[in-house]
Amino acid sequence: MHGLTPVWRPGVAGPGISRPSPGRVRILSALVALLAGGALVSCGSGAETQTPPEQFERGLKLVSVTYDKDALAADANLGQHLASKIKQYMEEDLDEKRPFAIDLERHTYDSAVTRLVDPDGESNYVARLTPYVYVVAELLGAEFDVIGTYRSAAVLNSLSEEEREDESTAFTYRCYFVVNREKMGLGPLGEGREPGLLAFEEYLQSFPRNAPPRFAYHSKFSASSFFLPSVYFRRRGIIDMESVPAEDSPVIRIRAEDIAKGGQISSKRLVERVADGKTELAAVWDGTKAYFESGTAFEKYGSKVAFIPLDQALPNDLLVVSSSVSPRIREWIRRAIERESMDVDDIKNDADFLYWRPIDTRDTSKARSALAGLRQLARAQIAPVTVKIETADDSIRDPAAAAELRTLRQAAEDALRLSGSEFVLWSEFYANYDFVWNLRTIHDGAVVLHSSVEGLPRWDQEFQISYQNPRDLTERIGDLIRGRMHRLRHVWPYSKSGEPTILRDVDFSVDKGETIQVQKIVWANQETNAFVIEKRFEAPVVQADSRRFVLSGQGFGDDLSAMGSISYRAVLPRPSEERPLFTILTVVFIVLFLGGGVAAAVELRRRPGLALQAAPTDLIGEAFRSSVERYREPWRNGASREIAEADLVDQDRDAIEVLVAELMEDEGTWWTQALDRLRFAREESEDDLQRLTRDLLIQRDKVGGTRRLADLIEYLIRRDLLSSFTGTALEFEAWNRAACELFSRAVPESGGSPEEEPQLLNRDGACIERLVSTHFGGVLKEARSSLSLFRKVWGTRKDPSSSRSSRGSEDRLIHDKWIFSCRERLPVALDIGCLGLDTEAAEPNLIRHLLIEFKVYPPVNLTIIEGQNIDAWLLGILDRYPSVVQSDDGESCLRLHFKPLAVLRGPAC
Amino acid sequence: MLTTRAGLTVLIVLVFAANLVETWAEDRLKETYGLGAERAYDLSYASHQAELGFSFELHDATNLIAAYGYSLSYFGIYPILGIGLAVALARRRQIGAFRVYILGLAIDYVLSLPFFLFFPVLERWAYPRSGAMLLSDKVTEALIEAFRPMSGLDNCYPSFHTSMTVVMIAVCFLYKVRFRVTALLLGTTIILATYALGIHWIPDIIAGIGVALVSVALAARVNRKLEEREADATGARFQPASA
Repeated sequence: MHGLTPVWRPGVAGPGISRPSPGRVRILSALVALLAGGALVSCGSGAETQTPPEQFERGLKLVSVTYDKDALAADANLGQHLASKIKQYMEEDLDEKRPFAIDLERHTYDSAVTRLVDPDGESNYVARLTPYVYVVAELLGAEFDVIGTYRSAAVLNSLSEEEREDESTAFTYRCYFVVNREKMGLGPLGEGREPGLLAFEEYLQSFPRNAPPRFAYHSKFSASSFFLPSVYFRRRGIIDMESVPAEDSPVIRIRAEDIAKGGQISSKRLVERVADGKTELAAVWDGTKAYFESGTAFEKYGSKVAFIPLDQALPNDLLVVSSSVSPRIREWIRRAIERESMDVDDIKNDADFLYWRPIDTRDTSKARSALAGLRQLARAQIAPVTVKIETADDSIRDPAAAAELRTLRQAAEDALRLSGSEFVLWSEFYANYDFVWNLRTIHDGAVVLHSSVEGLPRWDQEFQISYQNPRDLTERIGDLIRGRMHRLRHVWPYSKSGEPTILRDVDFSVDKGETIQVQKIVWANQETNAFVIEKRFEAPVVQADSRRFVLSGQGFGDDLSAMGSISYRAVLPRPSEERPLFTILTVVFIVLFLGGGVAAAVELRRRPGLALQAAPTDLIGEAFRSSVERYREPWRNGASREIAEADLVDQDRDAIEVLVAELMEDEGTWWTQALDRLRFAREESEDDLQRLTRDLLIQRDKVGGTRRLADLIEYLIRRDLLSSFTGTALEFEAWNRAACELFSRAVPESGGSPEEEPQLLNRDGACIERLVSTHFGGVLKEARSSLSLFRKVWGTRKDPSSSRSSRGSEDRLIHDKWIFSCRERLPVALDIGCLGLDTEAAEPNLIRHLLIEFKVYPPVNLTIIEGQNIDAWLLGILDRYPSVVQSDDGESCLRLHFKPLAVLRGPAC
Repeated sequence: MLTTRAGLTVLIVLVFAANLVETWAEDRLKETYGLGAERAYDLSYASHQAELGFSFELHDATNLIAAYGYSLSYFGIYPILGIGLAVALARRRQIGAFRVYILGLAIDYVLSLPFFLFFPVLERWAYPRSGAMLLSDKVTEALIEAFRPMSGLDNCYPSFHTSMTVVMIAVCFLYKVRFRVTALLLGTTIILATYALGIHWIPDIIAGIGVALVSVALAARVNRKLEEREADATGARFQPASA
């Protein structure tokens, strides 16, 4: 830290820089620290303390659910109390003096639910809700928080003195069935023991099935008069049925009737009707019951009825605040109903409200517990969904296969049991099965599970399952249940009319607009899943959110009732959408497949010839080479070994030995040659090339001239050391044959001799002339650096320019030189310009003849008569540049002069 | 055997016969003694992890075009391409291309065989945690049943389908087969089919391509040696005229 602190030393400040005084530094530092600290504090607490000013301006709405003017007045008083307290807290906490209004909104049960759930409505409200409206609105997605509940005067009055002293009492109430004492066979009130639920059920069972007891209610949203009794009835198999159940059916039939018929009446009327015998059953709460206690104005009715309590306690009305209300205002509301802030006098009224208390205090713990119980009851009870498991062939007789199927079935049953879902294994106990699972084995030991919903083939599902062992199969089926299978859900029986709603309890969504399958079923017995499907129809989803799926009302009747036997169940289809990867793969497949089709069409049009063979440039060379090889074929078959001394017209032995020496140098160093000699001497078997090499390595004086020459020629051919020159231009013939091969499909196979070859190429075309000339020029270049071997019929004449001279060899007699020449018409005229010769361009451009010459001293044993023609092979090298000369008949010839190494009579081959 | 078409045909028949016997024997050993079953799951797990645990969840929701199309590629185009190419190459005057093709397939199998025997990897769909199904079963289960004698359930690495297809495509381009572009495009659908149908893992495909390229290179080398030997024997060897 010290190192970072600027140090001001006397005398070091530069010109014009004044040193600040220590006091000024301290003040600045303090300011910075204050600003930083203030910023931190404001950042840390700003989110909690800030209250949107518009909420102060606009105030709040107080949503009141009531049919009762006394209750309405009490709500108005509550609103005033809250507003004044908020105003007071605002002044105390924020030091702001401004008005704060809470306006009363009166609602029926139905409209209150709509108001609270509607996302477009005024979102800042505080509401007093009956417990059932509270849970319905919460289940349907209303966003609010419970902040308090009230203490009931009616309940308090029904308690003993000691219980009244307890501050935590009277925050909940009970619900009671009301029955006519006389009809139930009970004595006057106070005589004997009051009946319980057991006696109540016996009483219901005593009614003939065709004349069931009537149950009266005044509102479907009344927790005590309708909701709680309906839950009780459903659990006990007491059903509001139009038709008479079978004699052996355990169902208890009742008939429910709405005495308000959509209007508003007090629950007191229910008791009066039961007392008057107009209906057999009803249900009320503590507050209503209190009106009929002895000593009250309604005692005459009260004495005629019995109140049978239900076990479930219900919370009193609840004070809720919408989630959008700021935390500060919410806190002020809570403070406003605390013991210190609210007493009996604060909401003077003739209704049931003594005072309100926060829901999170010890006094209201019973209310919290009762509220939790109510929430649980209000949820749609998930009916067990029965699954019948079938295997492909249950009657299979093969023991091994039967054992495998048993294993599969057991694994599937275990999966059902362990999946933690509503799926249960169907057994004979159940009248119907909802799903059918068909299991069958397929290839490689895998299994296919086919799941179908009875009567709804559209929602069949099929899963292929591979597994390692039965335990693994159980896990996999369990995964499918939890993650892949469709679900059956019932329309919530407390849905608003025209808005059939399925409370969402599944992790997948059904999109708005999607159509789902619905079955209308009439229960005979829910416990045994006994029902009859009355009709099937499709219903589109009109609203889908995290809490519910609302279906279109079309197809649904008004017969849906929480107490009734009619129910609507729907298949919630689990989305099974293709993953993008496979969509992409599909597109790629289509593109490739279509591309393949297009390519096939294009390639089908392409002519196969050239494509089937090698590339044209390779073809030209290959065809030419092939012709050259064919030309020399006789030498490959050992003809060289047949050379007779008599056939040797001329041989330059010295030059041959020099050449052999050069060639053998190329075969390796002296020591590798020595090794080769040794190896050749030891090896009995060797190939022709090894033999040739060995023979050529042998010293010249050990073999005769013809043998030496024969070995050399064979060696040169096997090593491909000869030039391609064959005494004529082979190109045309070679390429014509190649063309025949290319188009062999169209041209019949020839007999093989060049003469029989069809003429596909035009001999006189300028293109072929240029092509042949260019290639032939290359061949001539090659002939200047490599030996050539070719056969001609030579004309002979003495060299007029030669005189008797010696070749410097004592073993050769002195003779005249002889000129061997051959003039031949070329297959194709050569274009001089394309030959690539170093000679100057000659006229004319096209040459049709070839003149080949060489000079020899013939051996003494050969008698040459001037003008005689000799058929002979020449082994020699082109020793001069080709030149264009005029022959005696005036034709232009390309003159090629060779230096011979050996000349052999043709018949030798 | 390598110098005549008949000999090469016998060679490829032997390769496929060996494949049949190997698959049969492996199945029997697995069924009777459970040989290699545990290792197959372990190695399949490794393959799955090599793909970073990518799941084929909702594979059964794949559209029918993909199911039918890729099944067509895998079970239809693949053998047609293989046999068609063999016939086309066998009809050529030169034996070289046919030899490279047959040798390529044979070497491919020889290189793959040790992996099939000692490195068993389950087909993707057969590995329970992969989330895949055998998509061709949407068409008919008979397809894989017909194919199974030639393709063991755990002979997944390397992908023989992929490697054979790459051999085919490579030979088509090396020897300028007339329908080579078609072969390339349709061959690509075969390689993709091995993945899309839920049969092979990506490492199988990569290994298959590698094995195929090595096989073709070796086959071409062997062919060149054989051609040189044949040239020496018949004297048909030649060099360019200008050499």
